[in-house]
Amino acid sequence: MRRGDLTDVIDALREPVRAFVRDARVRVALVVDPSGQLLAQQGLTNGYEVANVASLAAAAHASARALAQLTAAERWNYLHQVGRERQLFLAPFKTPAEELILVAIFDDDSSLGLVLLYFEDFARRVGDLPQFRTVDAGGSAETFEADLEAGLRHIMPPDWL
Amino acid sequence: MSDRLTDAVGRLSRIPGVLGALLVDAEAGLPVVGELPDDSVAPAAAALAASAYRRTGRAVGGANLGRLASFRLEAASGQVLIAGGGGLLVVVIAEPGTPLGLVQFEARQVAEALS
Repeated sequence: MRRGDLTDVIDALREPVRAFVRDARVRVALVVDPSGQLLAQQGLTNGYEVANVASLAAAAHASARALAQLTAAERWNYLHQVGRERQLFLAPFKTPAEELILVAIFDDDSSLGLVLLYFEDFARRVGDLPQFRTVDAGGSAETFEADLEAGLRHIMPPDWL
Repeated sequence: MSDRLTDAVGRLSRIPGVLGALLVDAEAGLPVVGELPDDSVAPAAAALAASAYRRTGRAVGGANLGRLASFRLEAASGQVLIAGGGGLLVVVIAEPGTPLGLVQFEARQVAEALS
């Protein structure tokens, strides 16, 4: 889907993601497109984990969107899951070019309120990036696996894959 | 329960010099009930107050000073008092120079009643 400009997109997302992790005090942040392509990551050190989280985020987004449509809601805002030690925050956000998904994992050093506070700023910053101001072609079920691998190859060191 | 929380916030907000009061879910950092001059700042105030309280609590614990009950922030354009009570935080925002004795007394009473 984004083969051509992927390196440029990944470079552009690095600073907003770093700022979000720092300000919201989350342990992990990933940016994934709805086809599961990984565009940014900070915090996870294992390629296998990153691939799993990215594909699960895309799948959760697709299910939640379908559920929102069934219940006549236009879209869903975020999904928040509280675990024993860690919490998961998953939220779609729109840029002029496409919809993206932010996945954040945090512990008691942060809170849902803090994540929501900085998520808004993060989404605005990404939407203002020149790389997300032009509309791109959408992905499909057929390209899902290839997109996921392309994102991982750009972000993770080769020996982690 | 929600009437009790609303009454508590109303009582704090009526103290002379107080600009607003807010009850915050301490763990989630989300506003529960509030009376602020600008309601749109409630989510940010709640998130930041919960974060500040958690971090100050850790510092106080690390210094072997026991459990944090309340703390006060003073700035050029206002003062913030944060008191912990069970799973809720009582956050009071006051004008600069406001004597905080009564505010602190009331905020602690509310916090104790909620714990």
